[in-house]
Amino acid sequence: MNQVARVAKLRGTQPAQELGTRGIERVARNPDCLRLKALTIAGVSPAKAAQDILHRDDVEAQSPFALVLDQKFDRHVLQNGAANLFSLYVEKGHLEPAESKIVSIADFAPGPSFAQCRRRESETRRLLALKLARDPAAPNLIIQPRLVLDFGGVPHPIEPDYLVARDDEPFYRVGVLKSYADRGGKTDPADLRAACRQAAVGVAALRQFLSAGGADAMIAAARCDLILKVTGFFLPTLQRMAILGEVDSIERALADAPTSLEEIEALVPTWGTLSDPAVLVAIPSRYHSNCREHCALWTHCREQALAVSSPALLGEHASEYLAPAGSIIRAIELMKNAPGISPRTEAEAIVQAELARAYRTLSEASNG
Amino acid sequence: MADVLDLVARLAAFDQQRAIRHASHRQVAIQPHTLIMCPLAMAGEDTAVHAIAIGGINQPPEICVIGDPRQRDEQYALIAWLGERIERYFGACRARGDFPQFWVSSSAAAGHLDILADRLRFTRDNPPIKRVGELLTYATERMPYAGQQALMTATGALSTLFATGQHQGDDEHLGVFLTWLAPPPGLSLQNAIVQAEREVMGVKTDPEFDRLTLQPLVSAYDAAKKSGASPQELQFRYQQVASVLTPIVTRIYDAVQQALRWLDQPIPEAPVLGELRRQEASAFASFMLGRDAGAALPYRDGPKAAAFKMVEREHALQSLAADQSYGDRMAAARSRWTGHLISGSVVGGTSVREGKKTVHRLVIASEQVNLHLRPRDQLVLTRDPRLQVVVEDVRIASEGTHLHVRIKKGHQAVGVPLTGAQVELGADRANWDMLIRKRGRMAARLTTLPWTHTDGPAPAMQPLAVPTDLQAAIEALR
Repeated sequence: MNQVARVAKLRGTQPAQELGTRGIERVARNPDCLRLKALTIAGVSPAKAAQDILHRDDVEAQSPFALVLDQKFDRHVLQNGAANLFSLYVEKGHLEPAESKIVSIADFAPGPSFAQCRRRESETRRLLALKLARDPAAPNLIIQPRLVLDFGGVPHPIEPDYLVARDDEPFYRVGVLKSYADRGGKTDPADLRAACRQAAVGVAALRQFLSAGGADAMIAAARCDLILKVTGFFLPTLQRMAILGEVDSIERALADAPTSLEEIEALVPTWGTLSDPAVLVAIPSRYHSNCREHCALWTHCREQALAVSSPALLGEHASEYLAPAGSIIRAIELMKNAPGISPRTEAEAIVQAELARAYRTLSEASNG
Repeated sequence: MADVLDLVARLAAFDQQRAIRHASHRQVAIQPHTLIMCPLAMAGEDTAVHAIAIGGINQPPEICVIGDPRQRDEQYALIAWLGERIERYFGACRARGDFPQFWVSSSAAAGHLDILADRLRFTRDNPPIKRVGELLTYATERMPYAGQQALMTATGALSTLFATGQHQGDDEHLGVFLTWLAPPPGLSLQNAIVQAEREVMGVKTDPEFDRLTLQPLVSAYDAAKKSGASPQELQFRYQQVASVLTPIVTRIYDAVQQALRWLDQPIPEAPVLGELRRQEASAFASFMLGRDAGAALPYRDGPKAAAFKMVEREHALQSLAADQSYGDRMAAARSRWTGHLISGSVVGGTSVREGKKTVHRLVIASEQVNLHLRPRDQLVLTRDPRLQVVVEDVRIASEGTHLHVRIKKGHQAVGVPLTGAQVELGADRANWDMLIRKRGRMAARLTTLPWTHTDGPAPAMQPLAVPTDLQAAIEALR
C-alpha cells in the first residue's frame, strides 16, 4: 500500500483536508496531544472531527464579519501585483525601488485541483532554486508560494502569505498577513505568538526544502515579517520579528514522536479508522487550559478530563503540583485529611502536608 | 508559594461544587455613582461598537444600537451619544472632588475600551469624538496600575473575593463565574457551565449568531440604505438589527449588576482601599487638569514619559504589596505563606553598650522555613511600625528558622520585645507620596537621555570600577 492509500485508510470516511500553516502551528501549541497529532497527520481538522466524527454542536466557526474583513485586508495589501505590499517595503527601506520582481504563485494555476496544486508547488520550487543559485532573476516577493512540509512522514502542503528577499540576501524570509490592529506593545501577545508560529511553519518548510537539496538549511533564518493594520484603518504596518523560539517549538513538534506514519498507524487498531468516534476518543489527548484558543475538540477533551477529575482542569501549575496525587478528587481527600486516607508515596505525603497546612490557613484567614 | 493557597481555594470550590470566598476583606472600592458599560463590537472590527448598554448600580440600562458600525456617520453618532454621558459623569465627579469608575464585564471588554480610546482620541475631523477618546483614555491608561479603581472588570473583582473550581482563565467568562457563585438547582454544575458558556459575555457576538441572524439583517439594512429606501423601511431594518442586539447587551449588563451585588458582601473593606481611593482621586484631578491645559495624550510615549510611567507603575505595585497585609487577614496570611511577613517569638536578646548608644539585639524563632530575607534588610514590627529592625543573620534551626536582628529605631517609643513575646515583622508601610521626590530626581537624571534612546553611536565600553562599598553605591542610586 502506498503512502497516500495508508493515510486515506487512517482517515476512513473523512475527506482529505489541507490544514495549512495554521493546522501545523496548532500541534506546536500542544505537542503532547497525540489525538491532535494523529488528526493533523491524517489531514483532518479538529473542527471537522468534532462536527462530523463526534457530532458535537458546540464547534465555533469564524464570524462572517471577521472573515470578510480578513479577506478585504489581504486583497487590499496584495491587489495590483502586491503594489501596496511592495510600497510598504520600499517605504521601510527593506527593498529598493528597483527590487520589484514580484511573482504571485496563486496566479499561475489558480484552483484546488490536484494538477493545479502540483503546478504551484513546482513553480515555487523553481523560484526558490533560482534564489539559491543567486540568479538575478529570482523574485524579491513571492506571493502565496506553495511549499511542502514533511510532518509525521506525510507531506503537508502549506501556503504562507508571501516570501521576501532583497537581491543581495542569500534566501527568503517568510511574511505573514494578519488583520489584527498593530498597537505596538499593546498588541495582543496571543495573536502575535500565533502569527509568529505560523511564520515558523513556513521557515521549517523552507529549511526542509534546503536540506533536501543539500543546501545549508540555516540560510532560511528564523525571522519573519509581520503585516498588521493600523488601528481602525486599512493601512498595513510592517514589523520585522525574530522567531527563534517559535521555529524551535515547531521543529520540536515535528521531531517529537510519532515521527512516522507507522507510529500513527500503531495508535489506531488495524480494523479501525480515525472516522470511528470510539477509535478517535481512545487516542490519548492532553487537555490544557489554552486548548480552547485553537482546538475545536477542547469541549470533548474537557469532558474527558472532568470524568477522571484531571488536575489539568485547574491549570498547568495545578497539573504539575498535584501530579503525585494524580487527580483532583484524591488531592481534595489529602487536603482535608479525610479519614482512612493516607499518602501512598513520599511525594504524596509532601503534597498532603502542604495542602493540609494551606487549607487550614485559608479557612482561618478567610473566615476569621 | 502563594499559588498553593489559591490552589487549595480552587480545590475546596471544586469539592463543594460552588465558588467559595477566599478573602477576609473587600478588595475593591465600588463607587456609588459607578457607570456600568457593556459595549458589543462587530467581529473583526477592532473599533466598531455595534451596541452599548450603560447605566448606574441598580438602574435600568440606557441602550444605543446602530445599524452598521462600519458606517462612519453611524459609528460617530453612537460615540457622541456615549460621549454625552461620559462628559456629564466626569463633570459631576470633578465637581465633587471624586473620581469616576467604569465597570465592564471582563478584561475583553476593558481591552475593547482601550483600543477604542486609542483610536478615537486621534480623530482629526471631529473634536467631540476626539474628546470622548481622551476621556476614555483616563480609565484605560489607569488599567496597568496595581490597585487602580478606575476601570473595573466584574470577573477580576469577583476573583479577588471568590475562588471557583476551574482554571483562572475560565473565570474570565462572567456568566460562568456567576454560575459557580449560584449553581442553578436541578442541573449539574458542569451542565450549567456549558449552558452559561454559550451566552455572550464579552464584546463579540457568537459567530454562528453572526452567520445566521446578524449578517443577513445588517446586509439588508446596508442594502436599504444604499438603494435610498424610504425612512420607514430604513427604520424597520434598523429595528430588526436592534431587536437582536438589545437582548444581548441587556444580558451582559444584568450580569455585571449581579456581580456588583455579589461583591457587596457583609465583610469589612481592606484598609488599603482608603489610600487607593485617594490615589485615584488625585490621578483623576491631574488628568483633568491636563485636559484643561490641552496636554497631548500620545499613542506611544517618548523615553522620558515612558520612564516616568514605568516608575509610577512599579511604585504602585510595591506600595500596594507593602500596605496590603496591614489589617487584611487573608493578605497577611498570603505574605506569611510567601515568607514576606515573619511571625515568631523572641527567644533571646542582648543589650550592649556601643559608644554612646545601647544596641539591642533579638533572636526570633519562627516556624516559617521559606523566609524571603537577607542580611541588612529592614523590617518593622507590624503592630507598631515605629519599631524598626535590621536583619543581621538568618539561620536554619532544629525547628524552623532563627532570625537575628538589631533594633534600629523605636525601642524607646515602643519598647524592646521581651523574651517569649510573640512578634510579627514585615516591610514598612508604603510611602505613597514618595514618588513626588523621586520624579524630581528622575527629571534631573533624564535631562540627558541615555545613548540607548538617542541617535548617536553607542559609547565605547569603559572598564567598570567596582565600588568598595557596593551596598552604599546601590543606596546612592535610590
